[in-house]
Amino acid sequence: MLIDIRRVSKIYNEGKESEVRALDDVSLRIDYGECTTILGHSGSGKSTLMNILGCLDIPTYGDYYLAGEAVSEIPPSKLSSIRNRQIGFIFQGFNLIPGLTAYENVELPLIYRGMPRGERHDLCVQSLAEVGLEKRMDHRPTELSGGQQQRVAIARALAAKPPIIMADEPTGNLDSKAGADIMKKLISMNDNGSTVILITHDLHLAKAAKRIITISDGKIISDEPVSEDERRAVLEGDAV
Amino acid sequence: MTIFRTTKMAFKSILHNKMRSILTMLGIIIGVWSVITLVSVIQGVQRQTMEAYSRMGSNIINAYWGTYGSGEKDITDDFFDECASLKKYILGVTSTNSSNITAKYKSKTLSRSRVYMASDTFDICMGTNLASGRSIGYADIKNKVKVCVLGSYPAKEFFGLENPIGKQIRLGGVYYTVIGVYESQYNNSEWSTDNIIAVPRTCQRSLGVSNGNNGDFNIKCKDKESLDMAMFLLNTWLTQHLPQNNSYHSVYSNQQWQEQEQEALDMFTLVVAGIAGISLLVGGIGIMNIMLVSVAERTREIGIRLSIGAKRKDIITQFLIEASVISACGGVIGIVLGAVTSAMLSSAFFQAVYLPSVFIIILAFAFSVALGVFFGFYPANKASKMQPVDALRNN
Repeated sequence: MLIDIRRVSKIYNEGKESEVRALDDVSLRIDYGECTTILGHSGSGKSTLMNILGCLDIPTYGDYYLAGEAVSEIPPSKLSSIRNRQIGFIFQGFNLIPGLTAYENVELPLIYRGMPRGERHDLCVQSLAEVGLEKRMDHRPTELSGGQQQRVAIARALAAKPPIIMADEPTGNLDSKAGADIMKKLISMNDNGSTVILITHDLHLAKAAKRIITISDGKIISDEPVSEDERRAVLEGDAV
Repeated sequence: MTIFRTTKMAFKSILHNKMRSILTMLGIIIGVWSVITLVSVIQGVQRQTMEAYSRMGSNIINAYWGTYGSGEKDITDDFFDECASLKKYILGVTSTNSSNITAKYKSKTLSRSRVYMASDTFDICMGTNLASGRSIGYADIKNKVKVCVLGSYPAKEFFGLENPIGKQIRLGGVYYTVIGVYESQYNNSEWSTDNIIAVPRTCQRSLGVSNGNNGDFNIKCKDKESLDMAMFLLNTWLTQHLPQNNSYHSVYSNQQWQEQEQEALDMFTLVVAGIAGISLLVGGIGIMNIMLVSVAERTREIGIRLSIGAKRKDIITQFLIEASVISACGGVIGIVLGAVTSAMLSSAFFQAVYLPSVFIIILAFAFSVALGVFFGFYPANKASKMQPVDALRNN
């Protein structure tokens, strides 16, 4: 089992009047190679769940086993290495570094990984070309549109072909055509063996995955597979 | 992540925030600048003093005395005799008293020349060298011959390109024949030791100069051992020959003066360097301040870096290098400004260009980098400890 969280809760301001249970006793297992959507409204706790799954945050209670290993036991430097090599994040807010160009943003995780320059260059150029930004490599984020920034973020996440891809509303800032391209890209990554976890509030988009986990008020309320017919309908329809 | 990459990134970030970086550097610049300027000016003063001493030559004793009462016996001649009897140790002795006597040649007048009552060993005791002619000799003194040796300044002022030897100048109305000219010791200016005129000491009375019962002498000894011996003997002699109750005397060696002067200057250097060090410290606190702001401002960036796989070490290195680069740049600018300022000050005060010593440059540079590392560490460490998601949430 790749991802196994047991009775995980995330509570902010615990014990105070302003206490918020972003996640409430959630248990969830995701296997290698799955393509899963976590569906929920804004404030349902889906982003909190992704942050915990992506080792960006630690749960207040409960355990998280990543590939059989308890995440709470993993030392910080190894956790950094997991974020760097195993997980590709696509954040809702792009999270690009303003002072760096598109190329440099894509390159940064590869630098942290210690990859040699030549190899880095090839991967960056290829990855940016795949999202159609080969002509914008030297632009800074402020010189790019929202959709282009999102595509830079996607290129950064996918450049090194990570085994796990987590995407938080990846098409939120894109028009339907560009959104469909991105979805197809994620699905093809899944077809090539990557585990894909997609977070969205859009039920239609959610059906592009093979499994939909619905979350509301910090609890999982349903966990169902998507039928092949439904899935094909979404993927083949132009407006994803 | 290599140091080279990180350094490049640090430079980029510094250039990105030009105004902030310059303001941060300012503290270091002013600190290093003042340290370098002050220390090298003091070293210049030190060098000047030591040069003055070495011009006088080594193994010189300075002896002076005085009596309070009137009608005491003048022991000057006896003192010369005593020194002559100590030939084993003493090479020469001359009075270092000088007077302001107006000197005239034709229509030219010099009123600030120092006139020395010289002995026949004036040159070795005062460290003067002849440029031409001869010095005052034994016979000149014995026969009170009205001759003089000019320093390079009066020689130049009076005679220009003429040959001064054999010409007559007037000192206090009396004609003196120029028999020699000294080499320039310093910069040939009116206020320097080049503005001197030496006359036989026995001519003192005819010039109307009186030292009363005071004396101030330079005594040249053969070597270090002779100097110690002569000091002891002369001190004993003076104690015996001066009236016990109303006189004072002192026998000093040049070396002693030199050591004391050196000590005083060293002390002064320490004090000044300490004060300048405080300004460097303030500069360092400025760096820490700005690094804290920079970390706070860039919390989100740190979050992004952490979430895409930067290790704590990478974050710390990045901010540390940023702080060190800022302070090193400040250090270099401060060193350049300090070098220029001390060159300008030394050429104005000493007529010579003194640059700061390599030691002080290296020290200032190392210190400013160390400041950057020291004061950059706290904020860098703080930044690296954040949970990625907490840093990301920060806006």
